[in-house]
Amino acid sequence: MGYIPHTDADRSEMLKTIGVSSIEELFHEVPASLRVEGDLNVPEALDEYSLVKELRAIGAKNTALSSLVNFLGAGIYEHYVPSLVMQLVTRGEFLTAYTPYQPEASQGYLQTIYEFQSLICKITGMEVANASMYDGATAFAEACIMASGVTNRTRIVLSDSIHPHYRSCVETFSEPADCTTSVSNDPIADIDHETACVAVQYPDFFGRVKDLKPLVEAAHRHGALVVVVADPVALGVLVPPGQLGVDVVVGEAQALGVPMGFGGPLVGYFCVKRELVRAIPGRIVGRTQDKDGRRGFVMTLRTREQDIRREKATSNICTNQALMALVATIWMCSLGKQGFRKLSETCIQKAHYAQRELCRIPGVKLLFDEPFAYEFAIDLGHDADRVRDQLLKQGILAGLPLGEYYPELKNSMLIAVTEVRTKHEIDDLVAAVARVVN
Amino acid sequence: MADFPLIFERSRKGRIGCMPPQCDVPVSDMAELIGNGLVREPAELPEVGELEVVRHFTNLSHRNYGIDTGFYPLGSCTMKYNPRVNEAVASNPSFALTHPLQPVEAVQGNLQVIYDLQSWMAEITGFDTATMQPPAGASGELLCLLLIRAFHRSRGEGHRDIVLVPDSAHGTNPASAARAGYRVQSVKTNSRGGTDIDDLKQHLGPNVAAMMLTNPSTLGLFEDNIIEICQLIHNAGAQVFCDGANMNAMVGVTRPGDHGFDCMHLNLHKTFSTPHGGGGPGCGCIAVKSHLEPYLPVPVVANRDGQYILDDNRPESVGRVHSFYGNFMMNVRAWAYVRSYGKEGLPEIAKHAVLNANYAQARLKEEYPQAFDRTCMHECVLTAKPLKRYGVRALDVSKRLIDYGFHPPTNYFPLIVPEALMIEPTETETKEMIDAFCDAMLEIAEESKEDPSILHNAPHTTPVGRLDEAFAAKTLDVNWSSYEDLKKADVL
Repeated sequence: MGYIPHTDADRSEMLKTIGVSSIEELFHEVPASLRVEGDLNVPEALDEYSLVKELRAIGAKNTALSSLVNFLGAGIYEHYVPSLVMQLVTRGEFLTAYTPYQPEASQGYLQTIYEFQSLICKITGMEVANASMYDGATAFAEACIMASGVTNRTRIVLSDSIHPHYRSCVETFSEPADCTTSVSNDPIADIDHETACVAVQYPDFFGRVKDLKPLVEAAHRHGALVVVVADPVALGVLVPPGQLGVDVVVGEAQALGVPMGFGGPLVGYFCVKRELVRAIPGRIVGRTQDKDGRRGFVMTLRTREQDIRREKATSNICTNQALMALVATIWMCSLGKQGFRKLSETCIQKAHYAQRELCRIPGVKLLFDEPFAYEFAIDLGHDADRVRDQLLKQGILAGLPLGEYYPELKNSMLIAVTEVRTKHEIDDLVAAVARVVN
Repeated sequence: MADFPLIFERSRKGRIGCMPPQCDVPVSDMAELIGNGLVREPAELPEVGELEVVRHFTNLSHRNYGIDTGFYPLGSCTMKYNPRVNEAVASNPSFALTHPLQPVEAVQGNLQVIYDLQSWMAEITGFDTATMQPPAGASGELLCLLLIRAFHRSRGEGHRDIVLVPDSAHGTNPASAARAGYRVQSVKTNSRGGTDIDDLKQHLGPNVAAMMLTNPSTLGLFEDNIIEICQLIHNAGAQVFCDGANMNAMVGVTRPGDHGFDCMHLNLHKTFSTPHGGGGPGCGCIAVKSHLEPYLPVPVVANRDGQYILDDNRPESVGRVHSFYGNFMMNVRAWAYVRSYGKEGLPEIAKHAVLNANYAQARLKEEYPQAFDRTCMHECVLTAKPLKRYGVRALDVSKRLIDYGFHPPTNYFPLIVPEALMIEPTETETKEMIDAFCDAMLEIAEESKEDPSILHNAPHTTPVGRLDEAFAAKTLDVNWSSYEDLKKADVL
């Protein structure tokens, strides 16, 4: 039955050692009125072969991106993943381990976490990164709540060009922490002396790139922290927030090799300046040594955490997304300095090519005339939902119609172009859009 | 032996690793595209070849212990076999290569998986509905408290600001309560290892919003007064949350919804066998009674006339709790797991988990007494206190177990049990494996008496010995760049 290895002989010997006559007896403390009578209303068992077949049939009800040419991003991106990544990550020693509470038996994982923290610091330009968060949105919420604690202020200023789902998560989680959120299209102007932090996305939800320096100066002048939600692939080319005086950098690292997987599991990252290290949520791994001076790694600053500090912990997070952080670690190491830079540049070049070609179509224009990285919003002059549906029929997933999030932008579409799209595919997109809008 | 190199130490300037697809479009100057002064120097990622990457991480995996390596009786974590068919079905591109913002018509298969699991989880736990969104147990706890908070507010009882938590609770309980804006009060455990009802009554009052209760408790004991406890709390106008970390003891045998709980969380990575992955991804789905349903986070997966939809139009919802819909790919695995057992097999999980734990307890209790002399559920909490007279502590026993080839049990938890060793074998272990583990534990007890220094210096067989945690906290070398700086500054 399933994965239970017991033989009848095992059961009777074990019961004899325990000193009871049946397994039922072991449940004698469960009141009779609380026992399940009969079968649960759950389907019957399937053998392995039938199970695989059944799930294949359910999967076939999806239109996966393997059968579409994809330009949809908005926080989740399709990227090249070297074959070795998944093969290494699925090794049982990694896959079936848990949180490295026993460091001597977990040096492998602990070292990969230290490497993850280091790699993320290299990309963001920050001094400290933790072992991972659930995803970009919850990492962002934690960052805002942390800022409130550190500054002893409760007002959170959010740029309105932060991913709408991320803003929504901040509202959900910061409200019980007695914080108020102010969503602003000019966050610099909205900073005051009650502001705990001001947050922007870099590049923003629309793909735009803005210099962070004026924001950092304004925030620090008012004693507020700056929280930046940054896309790690764009940071292959963009000046990292850590070089611009940003206090907290968080974001989604799915783009670093993690399958889209319908939006989960993802992997949030969380970075701070060194002076904030004691306020951060989650696990953090540090280098140390044994009594013979051999280098080793342990979870450190544990007194911030829930299992020790309980209600005074910096967060309630326990299990995070270690395996996805490992994916990202192996991905970053595989591409290395040159491959990562090249990948980031290629995304930006291809996106700009796509934008230039699309904007040659009469009636189609860039929504904002500002620099962008590898995602951009265009005004199609037509209902974007309709254009998206028309293009889907031709096997192209054109992007995200913006009307759902910004009703005034119902004719606009957010388009992401990564390194995996070819010139040919981009030309097809342009031709298809031209046919639909004319 | 030399230290195992960091990937950065293997880097050589100019060495090229994997290369991304070619840039086949006309290119422009990068500074012109994204703005002057916004282009950086390349990030200093390591420069290593493919084979070096493969060897580096393969060798690191050899320095790590998983369920696939051996017995992993880490109490409270349910380290059961992670079936490989679950990995196989989850690697299917039909699921893995879907984007969360595709139109719902294009992801009906995904939504069916979520919808089925919502129904099955509600049925297995005895609640009315479920959401698969929380990505881990702690986030499930927090979400339940946010729903409870919304519920009280809707009834004009937003003044309730206290959450009761047993003194034996997981640290996530009080931490989640604090995150939900509550003050935490601790309720005592009685001499039988259950909730002290008199102490509970002392705490109940008009300002109590909820109690968080783990059943079976973290002592591995069934809360046999659960019906009365839930009634008392409800009579005081408060709600009862069940921490479902220990659901493995109950699957198919008894349902928290029937016990009187209002909501609970489940760990798919415990009871429903999704891999722990070294500390996630998990899934902390929650199940609730109908009175909490209006507050569920958006979007809710629903079935309307045979079509699955993502319902965002829920005015009383607490809002979003994840970037998208939680750790969806864990749902695919759990779906496969539930169907591997089916309705006829699910109760066998709990029955054999409880059998294995009681067997281990029976074999060990002479040398390692039970914290409470009762039949345990899926895990037993023993104490290494008798070894203290030889100068041996639970930590020493744990470290010595590593030499015998076993992962140690959870130690020093629950906090109310001195020298606690919390052993959860799970149902997927054979009698031979549990016997081998118990033999090792008994042998270690003998070693304590004969030569405790063997234990104090354990482990002896691992690549590093016991590590200096104070040194790590003092130097705070948490990133390779700082390591280089600290070395230059002669701190290391």
